[in-house]
Amino acid sequence: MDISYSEALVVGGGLAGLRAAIELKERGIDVVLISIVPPLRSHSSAAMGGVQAALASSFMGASDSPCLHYQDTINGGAGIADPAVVDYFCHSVIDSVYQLDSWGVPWTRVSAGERILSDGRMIVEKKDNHGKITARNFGGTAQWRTCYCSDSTGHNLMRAHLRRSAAVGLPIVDRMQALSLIMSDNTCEGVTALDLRTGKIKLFQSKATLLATGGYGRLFEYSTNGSICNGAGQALVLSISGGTLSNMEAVQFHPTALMPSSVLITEGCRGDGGYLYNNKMERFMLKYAPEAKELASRDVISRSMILEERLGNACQGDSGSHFWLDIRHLGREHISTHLREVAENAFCFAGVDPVHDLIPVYPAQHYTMGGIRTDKSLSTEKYGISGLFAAGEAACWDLHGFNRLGGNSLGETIVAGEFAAVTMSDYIQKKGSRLSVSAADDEFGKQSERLLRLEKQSGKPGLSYVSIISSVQSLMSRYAGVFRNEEGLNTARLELNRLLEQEPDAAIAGSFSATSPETTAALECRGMVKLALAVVGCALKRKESRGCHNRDDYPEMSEEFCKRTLCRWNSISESIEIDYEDISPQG
Amino acid sequence: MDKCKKVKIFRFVPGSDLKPRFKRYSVVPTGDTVLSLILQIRNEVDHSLKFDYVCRAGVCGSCAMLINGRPALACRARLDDYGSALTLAPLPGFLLLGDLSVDTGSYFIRMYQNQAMNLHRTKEEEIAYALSCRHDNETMLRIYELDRCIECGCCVSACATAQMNSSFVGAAELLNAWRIMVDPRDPRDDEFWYRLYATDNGVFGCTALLACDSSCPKNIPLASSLASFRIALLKLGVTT
Repeated sequence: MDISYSEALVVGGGLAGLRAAIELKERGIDVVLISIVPPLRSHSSAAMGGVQAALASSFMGASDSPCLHYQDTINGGAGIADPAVVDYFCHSVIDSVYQLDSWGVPWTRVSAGERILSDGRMIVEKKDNHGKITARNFGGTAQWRTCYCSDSTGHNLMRAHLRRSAAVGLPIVDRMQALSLIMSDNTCEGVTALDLRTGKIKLFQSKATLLATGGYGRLFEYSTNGSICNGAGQALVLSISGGTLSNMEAVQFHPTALMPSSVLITEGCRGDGGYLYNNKMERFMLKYAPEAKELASRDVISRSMILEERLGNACQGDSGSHFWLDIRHLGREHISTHLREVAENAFCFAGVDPVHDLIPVYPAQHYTMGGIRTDKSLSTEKYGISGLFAAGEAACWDLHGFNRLGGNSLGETIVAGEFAAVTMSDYIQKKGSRLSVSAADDEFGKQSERLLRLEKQSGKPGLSYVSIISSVQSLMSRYAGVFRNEEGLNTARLELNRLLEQEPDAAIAGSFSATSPETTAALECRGMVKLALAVVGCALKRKESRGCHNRDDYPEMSEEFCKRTLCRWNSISESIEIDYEDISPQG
Repeated sequence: MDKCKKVKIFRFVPGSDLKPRFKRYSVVPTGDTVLSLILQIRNEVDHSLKFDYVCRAGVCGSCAMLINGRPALACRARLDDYGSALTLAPLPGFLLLGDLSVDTGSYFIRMYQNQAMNLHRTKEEEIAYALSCRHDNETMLRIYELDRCIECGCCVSACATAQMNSSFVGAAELLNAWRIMVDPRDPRDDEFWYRLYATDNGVFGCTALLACDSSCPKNIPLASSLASFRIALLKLGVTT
């Protein structure tokens, strides 16, 4: 048996995981970080837009404050954001942005002097502010608040974190697929993982384990997310007794995914003054959101697009409906410096040059507000599991409520990552040094058994795991998308239950290899079906429309549902159990 | 059918296959890119085909491979730009993990370790420092330009020097060193970089064939950056 012991274990090499691991290391804690891919491949790198932080350094953000940031975030969350969490976040993220500046993040700066905005207004940036970190406009915000590095902010933050990781000597083990949590009664003592280089199972035993494994966007066929955002961490938690997920129905759809590839076109396009058109070349957002227009929040625009489509106002392309995004009026100079990735992607994946052409866009799954339930300090202790922590998109601590504002996810990864590390180090100080040998042994046995079964089954006739996963993805995009209704969700539930029943008879087609992509899919498959059932079950039960969750059959928001959803897996009935909890129980 | 693509793919998983071979596939592509083509092969024809991809949008750097002999990102490679025959092979110069998948991760972890800074400030000191400094946007844009490396490994694979001398650090590492050196916020002095890279395996090992520059999928100006780095270190050598 290959065992690694450490005081702390971080699963996930994206921003939340790296930030937490760096903090733990700096606090003198022995920590190991494992990641399914080399860290820079993590989906954090794909975040373009920026980090909302009320620095109040630029003209258009001059009267900003953490209070305004708080207000915008609470409003965006549609009643489900936790005031205490939002308050903590809006204050902390300012420090984080400055700290990252000293780590070498090339934040775009204020240049003193006159500037003409895309709407024709002329502004003058003060001399005093020259060289400070500037901000751009994003949807749903009262001030220009989003700090950015052109349109690859996530990438630049990742590079800064990787430099820092090396500086503190953080051990990073890549190509490790987490298989299960090692549970000693109700305490998590690390994970088992499959080494994707060797095909061997490894045990990572630790006193405190952080899941920073990202969201579950890849449950959907049309998604802006990377292939690894398939809910690995949420699935691990759902598979343990008492493991609790939260707000799983809260899935955000981004209105400007490039058609047909679903590659993301950043909100920065609209923040910088881009327009949206329907097939009559009307700016349809003037009708749905006369004030905010194209800068209404993501849920509003995605909803408006589907409503326009129902009116027959969507453009029809070779591969389905779409709308047009127009940034031509921003000019070549602006596009090639501030929206560079947009230009490259639009050309590569849709064959259009945004300097001269319209960009075809349509809503696609983008972010999952739901996730592993934690308390305000990112621990799962209150929900019955000790030694387990979660941060970033993997977690749900109610920062975003039922709709996340653009620019609040990158900020969350760094603030929550750092905070989780503080909570973990407190936990580690208190916990004794004993780790259960038999719990680790048992789990190793179970996982070896699982691989052995896959090997025995391989080559036999049967459904392929890959086809089960694609069925899940098309069901979810079809029935659990921007608009949902009882009939569709029931159909999805029925089909998903059927897939869950078929999964044990699925088989790897060719000869077995533990490191083959088919084995990776096989190991993820059942967890993905269960997660999809969680999303569909929670969406069915929430008989109202709120934020990103829109029910055709219940179009109004209902006071009764102003609560967070909790869900667990009942392993006897093989089904989801759902209940609700008040947003801010005192304490 | 004339839309049919003939694809030859390098197949070899060290440790389980006896010897490497090229396997032939005939596919009518449903997508526009090389990545969509190999995904189609993996999903419909051969579930065991190994290759790496994550973002499919040219930002994560996972899917670099040799496409008709040249290093490129599969997700950004448009089928229209190639003829009806395609040959795919793994990037040379990195440890082969299987089929088209190579270990670029270890190279870049080593790069970060080589360049690690052993100076520390507290968070309060860092924030105070950041608040005390102003930087022109031009300076930041220059750093941003050099910070765009997605660690795909194309430049290392394209480099004849790196292929002949495995101790040569490669363009990506030199670029990243130069990126830190021009950053006014990094507290290290220039001698730090001189000691690290003014060597035959560092910037003076580069024979200026410039294949790195022409194969970078992000169009990072590697030729001018490496030249600037070399000049900076040369000047240091003359004055010290």
